[in-house]
Amino acid sequence: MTNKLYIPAICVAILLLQAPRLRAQTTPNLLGDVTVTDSRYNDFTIGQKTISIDSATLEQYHNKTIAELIGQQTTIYIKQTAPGILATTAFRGTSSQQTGFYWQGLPVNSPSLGLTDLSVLPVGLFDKISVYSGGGSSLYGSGSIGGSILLENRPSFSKGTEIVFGQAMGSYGLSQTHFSGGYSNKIIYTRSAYTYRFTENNYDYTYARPNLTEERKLKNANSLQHIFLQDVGYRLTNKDVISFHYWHQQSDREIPNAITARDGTAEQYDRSNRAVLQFQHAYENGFLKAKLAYFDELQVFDDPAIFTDDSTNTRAYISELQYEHGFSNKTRLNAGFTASFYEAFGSNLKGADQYQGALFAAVKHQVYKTLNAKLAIRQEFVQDVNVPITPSLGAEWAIVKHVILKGNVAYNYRVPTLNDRFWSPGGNPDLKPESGWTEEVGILLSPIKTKSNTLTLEFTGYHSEIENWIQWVNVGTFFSPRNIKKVETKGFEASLNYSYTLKKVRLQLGANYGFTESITKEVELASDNSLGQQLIFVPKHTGNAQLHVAYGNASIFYNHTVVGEAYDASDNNENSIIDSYNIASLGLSYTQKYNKLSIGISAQVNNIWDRDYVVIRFRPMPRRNFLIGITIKFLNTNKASI
Amino acid sequence: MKRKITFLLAIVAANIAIAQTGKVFITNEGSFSGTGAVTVYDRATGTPTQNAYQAANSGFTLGSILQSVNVYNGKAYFVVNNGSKVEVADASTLVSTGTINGLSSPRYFVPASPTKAYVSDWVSNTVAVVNLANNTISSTIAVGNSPEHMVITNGKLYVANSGAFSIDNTVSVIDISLDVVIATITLDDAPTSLQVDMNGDVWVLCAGDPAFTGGTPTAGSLNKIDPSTDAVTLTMPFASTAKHPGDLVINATGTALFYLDQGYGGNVFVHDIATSVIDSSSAFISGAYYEIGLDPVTDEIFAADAKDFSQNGDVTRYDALTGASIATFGVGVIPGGFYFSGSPSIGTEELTNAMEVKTYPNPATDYVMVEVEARGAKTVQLFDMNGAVVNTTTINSNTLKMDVSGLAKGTYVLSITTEFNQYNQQIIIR
Repeated sequence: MTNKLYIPAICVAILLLQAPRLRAQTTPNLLGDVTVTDSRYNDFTIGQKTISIDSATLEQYHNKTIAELIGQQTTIYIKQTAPGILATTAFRGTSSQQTGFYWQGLPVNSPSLGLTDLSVLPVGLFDKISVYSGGGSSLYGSGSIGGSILLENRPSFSKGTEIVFGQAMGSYGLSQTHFSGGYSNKIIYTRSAYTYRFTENNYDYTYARPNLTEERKLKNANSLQHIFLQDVGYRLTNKDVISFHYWHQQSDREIPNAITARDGTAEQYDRSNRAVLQFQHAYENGFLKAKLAYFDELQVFDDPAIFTDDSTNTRAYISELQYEHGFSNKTRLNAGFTASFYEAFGSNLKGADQYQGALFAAVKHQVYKTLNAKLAIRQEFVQDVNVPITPSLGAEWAIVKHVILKGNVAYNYRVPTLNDRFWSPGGNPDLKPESGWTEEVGILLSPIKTKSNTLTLEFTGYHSEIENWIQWVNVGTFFSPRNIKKVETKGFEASLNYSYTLKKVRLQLGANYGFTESITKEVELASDNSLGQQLIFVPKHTGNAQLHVAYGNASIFYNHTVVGEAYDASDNNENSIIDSYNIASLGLSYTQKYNKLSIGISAQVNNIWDRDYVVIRFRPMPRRNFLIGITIKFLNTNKASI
Repeated sequence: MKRKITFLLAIVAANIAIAQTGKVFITNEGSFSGTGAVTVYDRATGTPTQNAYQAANSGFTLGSILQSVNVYNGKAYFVVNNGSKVEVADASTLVSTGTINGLSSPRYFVPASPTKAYVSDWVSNTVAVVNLANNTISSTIAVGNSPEHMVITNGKLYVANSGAFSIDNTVSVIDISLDVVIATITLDDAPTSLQVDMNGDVWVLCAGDPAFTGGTPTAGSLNKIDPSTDAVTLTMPFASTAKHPGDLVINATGTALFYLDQGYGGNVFVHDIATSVIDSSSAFISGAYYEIGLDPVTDEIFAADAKDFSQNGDVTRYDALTGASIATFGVGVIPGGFYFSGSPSIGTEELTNAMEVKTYPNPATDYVMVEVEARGAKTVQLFDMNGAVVNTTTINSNTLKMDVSGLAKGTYVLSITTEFNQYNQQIIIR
């Protein structure tokens, strides 16, 4: 234990160096814009495509999961078993382990599995969800190959009292209850939030076999979550803030079988506790930020039908120190280091632990008035794993008014997971990280404005090669991971945002299209027919369109999502095509304000055209279904003490 | 024993006659979502037909994890492991005729009589007794942990208790007239597959315990059981505890055993039944084969390559005598199960006769009456003990009166071949 605590202790020591300066209370003034958010995303992603999810969209998805939000509002493909069961990303044609997920700027992909399950994360939990396309390893580290998704709690000072209660009910036993209460003044903030979500998922599907066609209900598909979030912040001086953020998540699920199998009997229990202690010292030209984090995750999978009862417990002890300084209005530097320790225990994981550390630096510079560039570099150190140094160079050039040319070149990597390295049997401690270059260029036309119209268009092309791609191969009796594949991805993305405002009417129209080619370029065996073929579960075409019309306090939306054909066999044989699908939802909402109180009601019809569709073969998704919700907010900002 | 040898030789000769005809069924497990499919390989043309079940059944699939197939009495029995069922189809057309439900994790189907078959059920630790008249389970017999392959000989069903989910080291012996376990034979860890040789002895391959989740790995072994006493007459341990062999098959004459040195991904090794030492010095066929089968009609090894377990695999045919590669053909995703039409039912000849062929009188003098319950054309051949054909008649009806009055006195083999089956029976002429 002493070893594990040694690294975090460095950060504590750094925190203590600041101690003499604490308590010097003066009038807070310059801190307004310095929040707990991770500035590397905002300032140093120059040249990368960023997808901002606006507050109206977050409101629409308040009672849904991040899986639905990402799958319907972006061109990122979501592979999903059933609602609330298991949903993972394929971002720009990469694997689910090649999307980096961060909470409060720290990696939350499971250290054992290397991914995040989006089906159990309600959108309403987080204050901000940001999506950064393209490689981000130079800024964030392992796993950010296809892109990065950032989840943030962003409480702030001087907001007064806010109490929110929300209740949603939907088809197939869906129920979500949300309660949060927060208070903040100039010196402290505190906020507690609790979310309960349950879905029975007993929806109908058509079962057919020779001489029999009947309607059946999905079995063994209940999904239950309890989530608790706590944020506490304390302003030590006008420049120094210490804060604590805690995220507890518990998920108890049945795992349904494909309809071609026996009725499912598997259950999965997940429990995670994530805590971040953060100290931030801000000054006019920059800040110093230190984070200590402890992430603990437990996953228990039990299927009595096959005598499987596996449990895996992972723990991450993470420390990070970050310094940012603006040398002038034109040049800004962010640099720092992380030191972490990861360990896993489980039925099939023994002695699975590793130390990790990283040094990182990024410079943003205004080369000309119209040209901004960034250079970032990161070197990660993983015990017994050679991690390549990862640089990135990006620029944005406003050629003429409203026309911005963007470009980014980055080297990215993913360190093998603890399962990859230590799973018994098969774990391969000698694995190399997956790595490769990503390039992207884009043109942003933004914003083209007239008095009541605003139009933004963005076109992006990208290319990426990922070497040492890890694949579990049969070595007889069991499987073992090997660095055997090379994959080349290339694609094109287009997005449009248009808004029209006239008096009380506000109309918003959005559309996104993504073309993704993700091809296996190298394999180990000559007989492997996946060579030259599209990766499984990566559709070439994804697209969506949204229309949102608000009139005063009332609004209506329509979303349409199209997902093209995908393959579920690596040789793309003619029997492996998973059909494309089209789903749409329609919703209404109305908010009434009474002084400090506001009451919002909403009603949505999902899969409104009642399509039968699957994401994974023989795993039907729900047909037309309904969701209604009410949200009551109390907000008191008039206290003199704030 | 001599009688048995000459009988088998005669069958081989009979098989040569149909070597260029008949079909092989290959089951492809598919993914857990249920992409399992049947490949039908045509010996005459040397070409496979993919997705044969789907084509015959309006695109319907068999279900999740198609484990194995067997053919009996004109019906194909497809064992769907994760679908917890056996799908029944007409063996000629593959059109579905029924389903055997009520199983939990079925692995293999072995017929015993026209009304009875056994299905090993992996996680319930039982062998299910199936009433073939109505495709229902009439009873279950508790055996050891995770029963896998089974074989019938000497009126007994031998069940390899593989212990896949917990350790087991036994073979259960079931009296097939009573359906009760009459003996439990203790061997090394993880017996998985068994075969009956030309002498009628039962060979059992034990994989050994890989000890994935702790404990000490144990080595596998190859064992011989005398079915008249159920005594273990020979045990030959493998040297390595790191490798866990699997998939025991036997050649057409019942003289040579083949197995994978590493189950579910290994080289093919051979063992001569006359020797009592394992020769692990060199592989008979090198590769990383997921499963193997042996075509007793052509005496070829069919070796299945599952590649990355996501794409269509392939099967390479090898000469079982020389190990020379003959040809490779494509199959579906995760090929693993084989059924070879014309397989002699070693040890079950009495039952085969009871099933669908009636011959009388036996011993015969002037003629033999043959009654066959099977559709389509049947080739009825009579072989002498040298394997020479002395009479060939093709009939479309169900009866044949074969004149044997001019034949020398002695023992003959009567062989009846349909599109999917071959039956052999000994006839005495005096």
